[in-house]
Amino acid sequence: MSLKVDSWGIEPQIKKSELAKLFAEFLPGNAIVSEEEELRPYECDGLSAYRQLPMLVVIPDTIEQVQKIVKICSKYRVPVVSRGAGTSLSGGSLPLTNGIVLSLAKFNQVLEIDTNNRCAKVQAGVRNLAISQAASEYGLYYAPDPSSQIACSIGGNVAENAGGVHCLKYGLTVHNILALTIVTMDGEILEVGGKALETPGLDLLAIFTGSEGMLGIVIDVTVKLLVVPEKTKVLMASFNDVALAGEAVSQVIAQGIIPAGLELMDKAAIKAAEDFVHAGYPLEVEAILLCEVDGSSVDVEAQINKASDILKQSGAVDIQLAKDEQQRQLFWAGRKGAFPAVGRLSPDYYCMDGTIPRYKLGDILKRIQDLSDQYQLQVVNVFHAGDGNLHPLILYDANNEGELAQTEEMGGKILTACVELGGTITGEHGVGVEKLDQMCVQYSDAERDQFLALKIAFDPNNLLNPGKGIPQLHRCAELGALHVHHGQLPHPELERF
Amino acid sequence: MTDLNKQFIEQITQAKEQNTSLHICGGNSKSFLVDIDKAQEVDELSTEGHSGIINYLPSELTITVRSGTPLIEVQQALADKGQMLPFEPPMYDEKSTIGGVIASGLSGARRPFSGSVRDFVLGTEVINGKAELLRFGGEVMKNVAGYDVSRLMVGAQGRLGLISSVSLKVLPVSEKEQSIAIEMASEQFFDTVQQWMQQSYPLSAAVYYGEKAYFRFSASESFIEQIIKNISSKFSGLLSPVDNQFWSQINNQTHDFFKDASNRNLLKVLLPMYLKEVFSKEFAPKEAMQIIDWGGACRWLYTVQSIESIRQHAEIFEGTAQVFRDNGQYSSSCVREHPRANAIAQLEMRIQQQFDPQKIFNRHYAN
Ligand SMILES: Cc1cc2nc3c(=O)[nH]c(=O)nc-3n(C[C@H](O)[C@H](O)[C@H](O)COP(=O)(O)OP(=O)(O)OC[C@H]3O[C@@H](n4cnc5c(N)ncnc54)[C@H](O)[C@@H]3O)c2cc1C
Repeated sequence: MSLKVDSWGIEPQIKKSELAKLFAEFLPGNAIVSEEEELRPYECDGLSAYRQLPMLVVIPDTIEQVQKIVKICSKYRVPVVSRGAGTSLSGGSLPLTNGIVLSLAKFNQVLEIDTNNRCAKVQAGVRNLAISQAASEYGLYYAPDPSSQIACSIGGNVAENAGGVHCLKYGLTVHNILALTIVTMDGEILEVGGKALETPGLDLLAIFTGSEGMLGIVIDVTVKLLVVPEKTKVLMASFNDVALAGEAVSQVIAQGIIPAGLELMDKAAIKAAEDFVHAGYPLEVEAILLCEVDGSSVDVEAQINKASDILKQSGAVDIQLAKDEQQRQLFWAGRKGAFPAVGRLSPDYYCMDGTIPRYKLGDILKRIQDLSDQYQLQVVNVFHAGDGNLHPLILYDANNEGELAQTEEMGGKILTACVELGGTITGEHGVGVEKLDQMCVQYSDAERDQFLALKIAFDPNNLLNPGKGIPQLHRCAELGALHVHHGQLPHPELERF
Repeated sequence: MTDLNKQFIEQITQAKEQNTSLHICGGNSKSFLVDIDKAQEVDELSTEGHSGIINYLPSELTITVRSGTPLIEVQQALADKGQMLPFEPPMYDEKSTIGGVIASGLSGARRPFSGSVRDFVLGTEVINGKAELLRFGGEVMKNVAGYDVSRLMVGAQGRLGLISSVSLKVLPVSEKEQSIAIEMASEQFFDTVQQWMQQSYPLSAAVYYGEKAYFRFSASESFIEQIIKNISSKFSGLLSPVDNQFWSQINNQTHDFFKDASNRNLLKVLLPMYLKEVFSKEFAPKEAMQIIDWGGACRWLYTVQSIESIRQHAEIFEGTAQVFRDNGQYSSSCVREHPRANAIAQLEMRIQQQFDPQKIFNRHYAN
């Protein structure tokens, strides 16, 4: 597979062996990985269609070591790719052949749980789920819950502004963190934010969140913790038409209910998940909605009844309330296991991540179906419906020549359709190397130029994850100004060609 | 309903060509928040007239508004559909515009319970110092394509460019809101807020002033009824009803407490919510007067202590102190905003540079 990373013409001024020698002056032997077979596990992230080996992998365990590593890399112009758990689905932590991978795996300590201020300070490599586990003895938890939460790191979550099925009510990573300790590419430490709710000046916390490892290295994160709600109930509504299910989502929210989660699965996803985890999903229907409500007992009771009525009025043919906690967990297990479940259906699948305004759900579903027919590639749909965030999974077989390329082309068209419908190309997985071309669709030259300029303020020599996230201007020019931008007609802005 | 983007671009282009500087203003209700260097010559760039709701979709919980739209108009449109801006922005003056709300980033009493201005920003349209009209984010709930420039604009006070329009997430108003006051000592206020948050009471505001704690609850009628019953039995004889108007007096600083701001300096001290043990000693010595807002996380303070010593105390707890309303005493001798660490201050300058290379929008800012 040919790589789509933009080359920025960065030439390291040092050989691999010399670099390893410099690192060995302060890192123990097992913290420097240089042999090919040991580098293999780092060759890709969750977007495994792209693979390549870095020069070296380093696995520091103190902030001082990180500072020394980046200072050396800055001096010799060696690109640095930070890596948490490597679950990115956009190639964000894909190594660069002329650079090193900086693994945060050893930054795995929960440093403090402050129960009075309901927050926790944790190191970047701590797994998302481990935070809630550590907080559970105090009746607290960390709200954003990506499906990958058993594996992914909080540093990676910050870098991708990760979401999850409960983000509709509780927000994304950006809404759930208070402070970051960052090491910049010149080895300086930045303390951003703090335990107070706000700090003066520019909102650097927001700009670091979702910056895909391109602005700084996250060393630790102070996250907000929430009180585990007194009561949580989930219901499953079945529909004979996916578009109807989509409209029902808007209805629920329009009538003043903010569910904790509101997820949609289509028939193919239901079947795959049911075969995989036996969640008790109905197999004969076209779509299900999982609607979870949490809060006080009184409110939950009232809201779940109201939601149930709205869903019925919106065309649900059956509504099942999880009868106990065990069944509630089972309903969610099916949803959270949807990706691996689909993995059993097809040799390969490609997970998309567009967003649209909720009321356009019916439109996008039709566009996806048309593309599926046109490309003869099956699509399984799983949505964070309440947020308008789609995860169409395109099934393909990489062993069939040209099928991956076809899949990528079709995926690109789905994302373009999302932009045309007023949405965006990625809701939570990030741009990485995967959606560089679609960045040309979503943003104008001037907008992308502003992004590139912003990076210079943080990383003037472009050594942090270079080539990811924001395409070079000429790349978009080469792609041709054949795309629709903000619903306007093509306009060839090729002045920087 | 007029769009003045073209005019703005012309004005900024002209400033660029003539190397002059522009001061962005909306309703001028918060102009006291920035100190202008009077030695600099500066023209005004007013968003007045650049107004109107571009798109409001109640079922999507989103609204897109031109920056010069009066806040009061936005709030009215939302109220008509049973919705609200969840960060409860202050309105110091009815001329206050939504652009000013975003640029100042100020949130009201609901903030610790539902989120800040930036938490609800979904997208912005911005004109930078190169006179380029740029759009970031959008009207959707989730967008991680590119850096989060929309949120960076919040609280930037116009230093990075002109906010032309903004898309916000809104929320439904609760079925019921009810406020009460309870006589209690300030220590007990902190413990009560903690306890109630641990018990998931539907708090939407918590303030302490003059030996009384004021609480607002927002939830369904039946839940509030239950809560009030619990509280009444626990605090019997100490409870009194409070008009919901009380909160706008706090937010808009029309409450009697703020009258003193005309002859004293009003400080805004931001701290972690729960700092009971240092509360009285460090931040509110006897002669000081204060309102504890945000459930403990924000203190409005008049004090004779030096700003430096307040800042030193605040820093111990990761807090900061700002001279919010100033009577000329401070601005000459110290920085209005809590000073940032050098590395952060440098980074902020470099970011400004990348949005506004010619310093059109911030050359005239003192400090
Ligand atoms: C099965 C599956 C399900 C998923 N479900 C979801 C979901 O529901 N919601 C969701 O949002 N995502 C989901 N993801 C995507 C992925 O898990 C998230 O993007 C996650 O946040 C990545 O974390 P990580 O630790 O694996 O990061 P990595 O993959 O290691 O890195 C991701 C990016 O972050 C950067 N990075 C990592 N650590 C740091 C650091 N300390 N400092 C600076 N930059 C850093 C990397 O350079 C890279 O650009 C899923 C992935 C899989 C495989």
